[in-house]
Amino acid sequence: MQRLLELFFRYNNLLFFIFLQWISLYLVFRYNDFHHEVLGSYLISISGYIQEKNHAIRSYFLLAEENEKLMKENIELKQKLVQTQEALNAARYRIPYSRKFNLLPDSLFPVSVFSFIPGRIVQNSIYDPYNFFLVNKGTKHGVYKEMGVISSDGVVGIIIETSENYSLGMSLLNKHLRISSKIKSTNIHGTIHWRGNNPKIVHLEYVPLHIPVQVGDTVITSSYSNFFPEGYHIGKIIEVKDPKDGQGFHEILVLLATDFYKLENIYLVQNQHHTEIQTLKQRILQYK
Amino acid sequence: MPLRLFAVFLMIIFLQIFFFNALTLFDLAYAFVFIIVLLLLPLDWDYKWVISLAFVVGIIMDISVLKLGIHAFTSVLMVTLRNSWIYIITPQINPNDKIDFKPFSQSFGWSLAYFTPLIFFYSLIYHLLADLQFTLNTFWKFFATGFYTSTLVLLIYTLFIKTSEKR
Repeated sequence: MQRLLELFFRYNNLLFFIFLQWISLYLVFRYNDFHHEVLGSYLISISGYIQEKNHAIRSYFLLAEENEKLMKENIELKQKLVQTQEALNAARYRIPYSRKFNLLPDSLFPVSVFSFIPGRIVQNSIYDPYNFFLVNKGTKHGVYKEMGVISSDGVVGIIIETSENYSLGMSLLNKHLRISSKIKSTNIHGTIHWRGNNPKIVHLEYVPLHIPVQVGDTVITSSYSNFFPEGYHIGKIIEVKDPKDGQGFHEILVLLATDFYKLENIYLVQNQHHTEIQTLKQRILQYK
Repeated sequence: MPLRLFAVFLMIIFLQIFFFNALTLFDLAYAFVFIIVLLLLPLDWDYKWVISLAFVVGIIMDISVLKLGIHAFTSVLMVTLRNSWIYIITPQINPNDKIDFKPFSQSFGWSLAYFTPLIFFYSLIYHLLADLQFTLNTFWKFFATGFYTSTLVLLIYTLFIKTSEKR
């Protein structure tokens, strides 16, 4: 202790200088928006780089399983593509016959507003009440805030921060996140919310008591969500309880389709009408 | 420090906030005239007092331009280099003689050698920290600010401060 004090007094000028410079830099990076953002982005990049290296070692041992899964997914997608092509062709010839216009131009067929960017999770937490994940794709690859994130199994979360090469997502296993959804068989809308307990089970909220709900029904994303395409898989209902607090809603437990323990390959959902929707949403405020 | 010199320093800081801050040329050359106050702080003052005052002056400037911390950081760094720089450009004095050292009795050449590099150094650190990168634009800002501020500081020092202090 004596020596420590001696050192402190011997280098007091240097320590005071460091102290003042530390305060200055704190003020710079805390209270200037530009500096704050650059630092945040830089930290995300560093964290992402470390996690990616770490992940590269871990994923080496999981390659076989992952390849198998990807191949399965590719085959399913190809099958769906062929089916869709066939359905489209059939629809064209079902239009009232006319020699001149027996085929409709492609522009008359609906085009999806959603497109996908493949990515990989390089860091993921599941044991906190507020979980996040880090994706190896950033603004350079076309990622922006509020993009939906899905896996081949189901919904994963939403992007909340981006840097040039990485982006930070709020996991479905985050108590702050709520996602518009519906029950596939009845089209009844509700909200998916994780209450911070089991990482495999979420709650489907706001489904009125007079609506019959069956265990085993599938829960999918609804058209109210701008982050995900309608009808994307979220999970299956495993239990329906009566509400404890006397409210008029079912207490519905949903087993998530996404296995957050094994989450690896994901897709970032790009809504091509995102800016347009946001602009309109902001206008709502004018009418309130 | 003589009371008159202290009043001059206060006036320079006041002028910096209400006049020189608005005297930026083409968004490239900034007039950081207040640096003269930091460079003319008495050499016999305790180092901790000098950097504390530099920090306070820097914070005042930061508040006046709404960019917290940048002037404070640069001011403290510059006054730390100040004493060493004086001993380098004035070999006839050594650190023990500093109490008797009078910058006002030095030649114009000495003032030029003292102020200009430190002002350019200040400009470099300030723009590097403000931009967080060194681009061509940063270089032009560093160069233009250094040149512009040096000119103004030497003019004010020679015409107003040095002549009145000599008397």
